[in-house]
Amino acid sequence: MKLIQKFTLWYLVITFIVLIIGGVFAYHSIKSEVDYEQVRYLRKNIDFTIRELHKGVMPDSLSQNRMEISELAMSTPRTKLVVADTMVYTRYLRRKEPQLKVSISRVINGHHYYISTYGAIVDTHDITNAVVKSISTIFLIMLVVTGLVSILISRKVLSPFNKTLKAMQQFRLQQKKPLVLPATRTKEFKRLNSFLSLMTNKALKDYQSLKEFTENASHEMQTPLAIIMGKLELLLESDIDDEQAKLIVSAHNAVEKLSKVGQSLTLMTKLDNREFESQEMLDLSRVLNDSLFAFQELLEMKSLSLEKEIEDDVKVKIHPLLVNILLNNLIGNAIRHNIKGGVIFVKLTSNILEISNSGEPLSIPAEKMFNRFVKNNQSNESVGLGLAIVKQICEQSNIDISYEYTENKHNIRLVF
Amino acid sequence: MKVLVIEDNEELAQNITSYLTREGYICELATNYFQAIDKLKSFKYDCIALDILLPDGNGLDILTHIKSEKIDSGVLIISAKNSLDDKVNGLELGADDYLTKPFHLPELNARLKAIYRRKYLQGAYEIRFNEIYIHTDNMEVSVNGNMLDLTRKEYALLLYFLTNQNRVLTRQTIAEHLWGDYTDNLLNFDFVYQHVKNLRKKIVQADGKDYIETVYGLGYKLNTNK
Repeated sequence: MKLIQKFTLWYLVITFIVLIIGGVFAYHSIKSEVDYEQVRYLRKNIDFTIRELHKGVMPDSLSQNRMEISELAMSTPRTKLVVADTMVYTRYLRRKEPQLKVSISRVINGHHYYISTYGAIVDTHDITNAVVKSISTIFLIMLVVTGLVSILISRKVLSPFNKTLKAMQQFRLQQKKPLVLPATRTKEFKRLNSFLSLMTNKALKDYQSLKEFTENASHEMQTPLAIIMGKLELLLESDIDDEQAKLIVSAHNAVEKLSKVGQSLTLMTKLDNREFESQEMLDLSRVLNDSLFAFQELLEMKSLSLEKEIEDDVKVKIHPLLVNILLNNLIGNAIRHNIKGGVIFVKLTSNILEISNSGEPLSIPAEKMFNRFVKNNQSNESVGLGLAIVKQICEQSNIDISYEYTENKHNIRLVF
Repeated sequence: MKVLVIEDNEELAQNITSYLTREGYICELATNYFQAIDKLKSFKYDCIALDILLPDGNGLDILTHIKSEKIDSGVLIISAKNSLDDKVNGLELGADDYLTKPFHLPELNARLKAIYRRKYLQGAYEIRFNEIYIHTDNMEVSVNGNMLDLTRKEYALLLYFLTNQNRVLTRQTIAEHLWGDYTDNLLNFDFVYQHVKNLRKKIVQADGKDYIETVYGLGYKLNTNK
C-alpha cells in the first residue's frame, strides 16, 4: 500500500469516528434545544389556562384537545411544575409517539385543579434522520475531496522522495559517480537526501581505496618478488648440492606463484576499473582458430582429440586483450583438467561459444567454480583465479556464461 | 655487448648486472634519471634495460631522450606496472621489447640478445655452437650439416638454451619462455619435459652431442664442456 493511501485511510477512519461522536453530540444538543422550546410553549399554554381560571372561566370550556383540567380533592398534596416524557397515541400517524408532558396542580378560587398538557413540535426520528443525513453527506464530501487532494498532493509533495528513490536504484558503486539528488524544501527529505549522499560518498571512497590498495599491494609486491627470484636464480648457479637445489627450486616456484596471484589480482582490479573498454567488433572466429592453433602442441602431447565447429565471421564486441585471456584460460582449462586420451569440443555459432571437455567429476558445485581461489582439486598447483577472471571478463563484455558438468563432460557456454 | 641497466632498486640492479656480467657483457648501472641521462650522453651502449618508475623521473622520458638524441641502442623496458598503456606507449616511443617484473634472469638475457640480434645483425644471424648451426632469419637448424626438423617450440627452446649456456634453467623458467604470460594455468611441467626430450633426441639422431643435461630436481642445463 502506498504511503499516501495509508495516510488517507487513517485520516478517513479518524474522520468517521469524529463525525459519529459529533453526530451524537449534535443530536443531543438539537434535542435539548427543541425540548426547551417545547416546554416553554406548553408552560405558556398552562399559564394562559391558569389566568383564565382565575378570571372565573369554567374549566370544562378550557379543556380541549391537548389540555386536560381536572379537579382534585383539597387534601391532595400540591405539585409543582413537572416535565415528563410520555407516549401518546397520535391518530394521524396511527402509532404511539414520544411526547412531552407538562403538568402542575394549583389552587384557584378555592378549587384544587390538576392541569396538564402535552405536545411535540419536532419528532425525535426527524432529528435523528436529519443528523445522520447531514453527517453522511459531510463524510461523502470529505471522502471525495480527500481522495482527489491526496493524489494531487502526493504527486507534488512526494516527488522529491520518488526522485531520490529512482536515483538510489540507479546508483552503482562501479560507475564511481557520486549520487545526485534533487533539491527539496521538505525537512525530512532534506535529511534523507543528505544522509544518502553522505553514505554513498563514503561507500564510493571506501570502494576506491580498497581498489587502490589491491592495485598498489600487487604492484609493490612485484619488485621484491623480482629480487627474490633473481637471487634464487643466481644461487642456482653457485656450487650447491642436491638438497640445497631442491630447497631453492621450491622457493622459486612459490615466488613464481605469488607473482602470478599478484598479476591476476591486478588484472581483476583493472577489469573492475573498466580499463579495457572496447567499441570495436572483433572477429571471434579468427581469434578462436588462432588460439586453438597455438594450443596444438599441448593437445598432441596430452593425446587429446579436438573437434571443432566454428562458424566464420562471428563478430563480438570485446577488447582484443580480454578475448585472448578469456580463450587462453578456457582452452587451457579444457586441456589441463582433461583425462589422458580425452576429447575437447569447441563450437562457435553467431551468438554462442561452447567449450566442453572430458574430465574428472566436480567435487564442488559448478556455479562456485567462478569464485576466487576456488579449485576443484585443492592440492592443485594452480592459483584458482582463472575462472574468476573469465567470469569478470564476461560480465564486463555483456556475455552470459554458464558452467555445468553433465555426462562426464565439463561444459562452458558463453552467450553473447 | 655493452649494456646500461637503469634501475633504481639496487638489489634488483645487482641481480641483473651479476647475471649479465657472468654472461660476458660489460654492464653499467644507473640508479636514477639524472645518472642515466648523464651516462647516455657520455658513452655508447648496445642495449639498455630501462625501468619505467624512477625516483626522479619517468623512464619513458629517457626513451624520448634516446629517440631525440638519435642514440642507437636497443631498449628493453622493465616495469612492475603490467599496464597495457605503458607497454603501448613504450613500444611506440621506440622501445624494442617489454618485460614485466618479476622476470627470470635467463629471460632477460634472452630478450636482450634477441634485441641485439635484430638491431645490429638485422636478424640475419648465424649462431654457431660447435656442430650446431642456427640461421635465425629462416629458423633453420643443422647439426653436422644435417638439417633438423624442429617444431616452433623446439626451435625456441634450443635458442633459449644456447642463449643461456651453462646456466641452470628451471622448468618454470622454460615454460614461461615458451608459453608466455597468460598460459600459466597450463603449466604442468610434463610439457617442458616432453619438449626437452624431443629436442635432445633430434640432436642426438643427427649425430650431435647430447649437450642438454637434466639437473636433478632443478631443470636443465646446456653443458658446453661435453
